[in-house]
Amino acid sequence: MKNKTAVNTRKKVDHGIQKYLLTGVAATSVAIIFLIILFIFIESTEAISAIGPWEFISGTEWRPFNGSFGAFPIILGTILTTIGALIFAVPLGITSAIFLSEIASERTRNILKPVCEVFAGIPSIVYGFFGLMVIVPFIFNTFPNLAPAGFSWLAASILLGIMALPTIVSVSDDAMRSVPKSHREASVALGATHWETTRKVVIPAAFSGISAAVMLGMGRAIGETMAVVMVAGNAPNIPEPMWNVFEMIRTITSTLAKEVGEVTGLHLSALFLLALVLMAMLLLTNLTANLIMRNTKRKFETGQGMIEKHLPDNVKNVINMAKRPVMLSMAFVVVMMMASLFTDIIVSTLIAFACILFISTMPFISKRIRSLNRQRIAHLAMSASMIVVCAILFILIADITVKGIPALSWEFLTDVPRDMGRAGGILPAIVGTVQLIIGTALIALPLGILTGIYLAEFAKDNRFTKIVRSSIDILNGTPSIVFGLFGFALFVHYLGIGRTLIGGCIVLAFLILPVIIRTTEETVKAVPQELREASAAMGATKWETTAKVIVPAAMGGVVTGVILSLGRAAGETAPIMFVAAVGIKRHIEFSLFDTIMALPYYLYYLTEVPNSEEVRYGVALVLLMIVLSMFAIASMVRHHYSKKVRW
Amino acid sequence: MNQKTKMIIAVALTAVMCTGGTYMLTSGSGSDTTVLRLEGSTTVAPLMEKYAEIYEGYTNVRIEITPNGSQNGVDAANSGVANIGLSSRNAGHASHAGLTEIRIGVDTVVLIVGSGAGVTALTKTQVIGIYNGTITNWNQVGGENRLIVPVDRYEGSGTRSYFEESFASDGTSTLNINRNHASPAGGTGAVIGFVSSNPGAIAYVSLGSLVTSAEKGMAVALDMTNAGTGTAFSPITQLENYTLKRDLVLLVKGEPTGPVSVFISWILGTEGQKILEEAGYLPLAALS
Amino acid sequence: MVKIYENNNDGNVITIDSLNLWYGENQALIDVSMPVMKNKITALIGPSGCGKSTLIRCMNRMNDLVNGCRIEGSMKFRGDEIYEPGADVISLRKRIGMIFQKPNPFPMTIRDNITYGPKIHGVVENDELDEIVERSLKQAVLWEEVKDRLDKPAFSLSGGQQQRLCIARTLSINPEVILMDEPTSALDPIATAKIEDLAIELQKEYTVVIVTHNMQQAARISDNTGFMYLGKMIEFDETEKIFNKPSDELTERYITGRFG
Repeated sequence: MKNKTAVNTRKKVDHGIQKYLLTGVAATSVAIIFLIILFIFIESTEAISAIGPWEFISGTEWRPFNGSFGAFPIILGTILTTIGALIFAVPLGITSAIFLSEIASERTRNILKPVCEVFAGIPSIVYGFFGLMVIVPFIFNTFPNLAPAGFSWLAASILLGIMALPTIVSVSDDAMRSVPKSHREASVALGATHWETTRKVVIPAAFSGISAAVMLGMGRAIGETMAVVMVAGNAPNIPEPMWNVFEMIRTITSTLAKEVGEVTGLHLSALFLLALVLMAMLLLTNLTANLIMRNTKRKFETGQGMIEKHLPDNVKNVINMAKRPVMLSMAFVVVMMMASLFTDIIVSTLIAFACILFISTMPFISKRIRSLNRQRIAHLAMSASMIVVCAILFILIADITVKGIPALSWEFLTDVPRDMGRAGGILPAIVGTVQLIIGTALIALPLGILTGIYLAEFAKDNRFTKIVRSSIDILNGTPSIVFGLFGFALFVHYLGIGRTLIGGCIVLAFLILPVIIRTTEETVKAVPQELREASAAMGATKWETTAKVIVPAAMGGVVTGVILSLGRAAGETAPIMFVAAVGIKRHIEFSLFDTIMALPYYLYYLTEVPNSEEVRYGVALVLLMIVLSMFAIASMVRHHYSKKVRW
Repeated sequence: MNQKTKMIIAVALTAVMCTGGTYMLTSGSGSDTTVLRLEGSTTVAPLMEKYAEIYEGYTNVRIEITPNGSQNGVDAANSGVANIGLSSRNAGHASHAGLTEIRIGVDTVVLIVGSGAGVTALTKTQVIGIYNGTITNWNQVGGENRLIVPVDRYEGSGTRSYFEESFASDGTSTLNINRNHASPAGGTGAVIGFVSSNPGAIAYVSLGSLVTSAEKGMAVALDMTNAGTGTAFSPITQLENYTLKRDLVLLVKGEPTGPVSVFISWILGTEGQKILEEAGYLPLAALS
Repeated sequence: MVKIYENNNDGNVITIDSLNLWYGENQALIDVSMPVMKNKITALIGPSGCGKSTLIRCMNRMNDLVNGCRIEGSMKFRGDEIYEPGADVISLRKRIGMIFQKPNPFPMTIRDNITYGPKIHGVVENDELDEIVERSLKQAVLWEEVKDRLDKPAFSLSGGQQQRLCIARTLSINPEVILMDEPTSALDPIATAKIEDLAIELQKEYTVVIVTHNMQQAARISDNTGFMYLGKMIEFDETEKIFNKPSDELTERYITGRFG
């Protein structure tokens, strides 16, 4: 009798303590997130009061040394490069996704899908490097009169588009794949061709998922830093005319990257204000995206969107009739604007007319082709897209591998840099990257995994949880350069400890924290209810169930998420470039409060060192190999666990 | 492999990783090393790198250099983030106020042009015209028919402020219209790389940063008289007559003491100056 | 096996002769022969895995969607081989429609569900489409229940209504044959009864083939019944004969519930 009571009491106490512990951890994560957001707010107040928000956003001169802080060209630069990136990536990405999901055989898909996912992990500095070495010269060789420097809005958009492609392809593919087979069968049974089914049933049904993919790609483009820094030319201009893609341009992120070294009070505050504007833009994008997605879904299911419902019938008729002419005229204007960059007004107008003619006759021509032939053409076009995407990625990897291999040698991997990096090796950079990975893991993993478990198993549906989730989402969408800005202001500016390894680890940990929390939560939630029920039926407490049944079952997904996040952290430049990294270290150090060399930052640094091209490629190759092997390991872990656990 | 074995392996692995990790993070660089942090001009930084490589062989001092522009060098010296700030603005420059200046040598600023420009000499007026946008094609200055791509530096660059002041017309700074000017990411190195690969480019860099003969071959002769009627002197062959020269300056807050002082004395000593000269700069002794 | 179709050759819409089907290595249909007679309801019964769904899916070539499916033998629709190389699958499916086990309306409005088929096959005029919508829904005995909410999502209907919507959708393109693959197994008894009544109505204008694991259903509504077991057509005859005086012992054992 006495024993029984003891057992019961002990269990209750365990349960209580552990639950509070978890809640405490979750609260810490939230506190951190809040701190960062608050910090950014506070830091920008000086600029807000000194410059004035309206003057800041609308001013057209960004010359901080002269005291003018007009951010309009920079904000416009972010918008324009993103639009360009989407124009490039969305058609290509969605059509490739259609190929992957609807046309490719199982075997092809099993090869291509992982390939796409791996490419999503290529560090942005490597993309930027590729842009600098290949895209920029391509542009100034192809358009020597329009873009003699090669650096341009066009170069930035192409690069950003390439970087957004894997995301768009992967998420759209998932969305289309999850359209139930029954819908496809119903369509086919009515005599539709495969292509008609894809176009009229699958794509509309997957539309919200596809929109999500585009939004994710867009978020990536808006927040991208290093790639833009390397190829955009970075002149804070408003292009003239505004659609001139060959002009040099600057984005918010590249401004932050180039100017954060400044310690001057007002200038630094202005940069924080820029960061705030950036985050506001991202928030706006997300909200608009959600609205569009909901409206489209409603339209698909009920025949009319939210606005349409309230319009009288005759207005709706007018709108319907006007749709076609309006879109045709918009197309006309766009083609004319683009053509006018190359030739004079008359020729541009003619070209525009020709295009419009072609577009308007398309539906008629298309009706006259047999549906099977239409399908063949469509399938061909989708395959071509996929081929283009693969070709781009292949060229990138090939370029870096082929030019990087000659640089690799035993000396390269084990020696310290000499002669400003042109000779010797890159060992301190490799060591530094490893140190960052370890340190980041030690901070982010306990915090992130425990918070994720808390959210999945213990969080109630109350206000606190909502706040936690919202803050995680905000942090998740924050560009990495903002983390670098935060870290710089905190560690270098306020605490005065300068650049340190620990600072870099903390910043990177904050960067990947939201992802780890989310992945853990999702994986834990995905563990089937039956396991929980079975464990509870045997008299286990909630904590015991979680620790002994749920977590081991979710381990595969959690480990995968962790490796992927750390791989991403290893490739980041922007967060560490002001907080931890230094260009050249001639000695290996193992100290938390020392600076480090890191591979991604070293690559960036080397672009400033003349005659170091071969070394740069070598560094890019080593970085690529490390990051890609981490992704490969993560894939293998995921595969292993998904086979082992069958429920 | 049963559960128990797996458990043992997992624990052992974790233990190894933890100890290894802690070692990697904290074993420290030894208490007898000092770190000197240098920050600033991308012109002076490569020279300091050369110094560091040799100097670190003599002592336990570790030297870390961050090339991010002369203005950053000034700010870092002022705020104490760096022990020594690097500046390529002339001694006595307004921004150096409040800091101790130590001249260590003299640098030549040259103009380099791309392989397709077709000119070997320019006058001061022509350079002004190129950079303020009134001259847009190389054939307007006696070269090939090709668009000029002027390359600028970021605002914090010491080389840029020096350039703007040297090519001021009527005592004011030249108007640099950013529109057409490329600003490749990065400092001197990136600029040289850009001019090497873009036939129509023109840029201003420190002579000391041109290493290979191919790079040196990109430099043009300059006639710096206001009327443009003087001789154009080549910085490579007629260095004594070439007029665009500016100081290489180390900035320290207060008087240099301890390891900072030792390091600076070494730089100003025979060996230090010899290294400077071999790197393509002019030692203090060479000028009055 | 009784070959009653020899007498009604021109009354057969579909004629199956010695049909064999493999999914990869696995043979799912062995030497199956049977007729589908015009304006009659033909039921296919048998225990799980006997091949009745596979057989019915051959008729509108839905098996084409399965990788590794191979066919030998003859299946003729109106005298033409269905599986002839170069056969026009699209128009075949226009003339042979299918209702599935689980109602699968498109995630669109009721109206859009019905107009999907006609639009694919070339109908563009709005008046014509409206007419088709009304006709099909009336034939499926659904018109009265939904005529005021044609623009509501199809998912707002109950299970039984959704299945009738799917039938209306199939009827919208005017097929000759309607295949039903266990159309009521996911529905409650009242909805089931409605579907069964509907099938009997449809039989007047269309030919119906229905797969069911509910013997009583087959007995209630069909004219001919085929009993299948392990991929073979064991017995095919008029429904009355199958249920009252089956010729094959296996059939008798199944009918009387001794296995299945």
